[in-house]
Amino acid sequence: MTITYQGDNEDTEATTVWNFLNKKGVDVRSAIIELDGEIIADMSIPLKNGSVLNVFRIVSGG
Amino acid sequence: MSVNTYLSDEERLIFESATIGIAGAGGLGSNCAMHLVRAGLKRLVIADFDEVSESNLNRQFFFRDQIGRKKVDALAENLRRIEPDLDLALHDIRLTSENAGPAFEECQVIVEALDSAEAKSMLLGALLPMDKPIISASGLAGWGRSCEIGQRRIGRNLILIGDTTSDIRSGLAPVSPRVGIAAAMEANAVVALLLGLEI
Repeated sequence: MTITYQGDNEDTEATTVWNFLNKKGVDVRSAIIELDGEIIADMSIPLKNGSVLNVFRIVSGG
Repeated sequence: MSVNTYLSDEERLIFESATIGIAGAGGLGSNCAMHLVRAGLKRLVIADFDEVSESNLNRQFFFRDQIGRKKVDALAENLRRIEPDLDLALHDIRLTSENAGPAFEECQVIVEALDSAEAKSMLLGALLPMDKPIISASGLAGWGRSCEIGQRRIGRNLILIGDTTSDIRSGLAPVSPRVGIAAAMEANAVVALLLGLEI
């Protein structure tokens, strides 16, 4: 299936958000994950063809 | 009478009836609060456990003679020098996933203004389920690259300000110009939300 990740189309065999981001090496503990316009906390949500996934890093400083 | 004499009657009413939460009274929170008070807001809920230290003076809205004082008390004093007629709820607490929700329950908008990535993530995890607008910041350390400090809406309720990469852990210092830009953008997002304007 094809999803949109960080604005780019990408073919993937990952079935869940966790599978996909784990392969990307994303540390989800310090990131905001947005799937199809909603912030999600549950990384076991399945990906679907056409899903739009965005990751925003939370870094220190204030 | 508002400190901001440029407000319309409608804007003044909106600002004076709003309660804004500020989680953290450091570089982001102290400066964001200052901007909000100068804009004409009068009701703030501010939470921070820390004391003013010398290393804070490069970017935070405190003064040398306030070193050693609780940040919430020193900030309240400074804000009241701008506008004496303020309704401030001060929480001298370290925010946790348990106390953050109750601390900001009465707020229409909450500003995340914490230091560490872990604390920011914890706070967002605690506050996002409250279904209130949250203004957060990530990536504001170092010098230059002002225009890389962007803002984006994530999901329904989160507005994230910063470049999401400039991390103090990578050796970049938190310094006044970029922290100040992010704090001003957080305040600007708050007032835009209150007035129903484009963020």
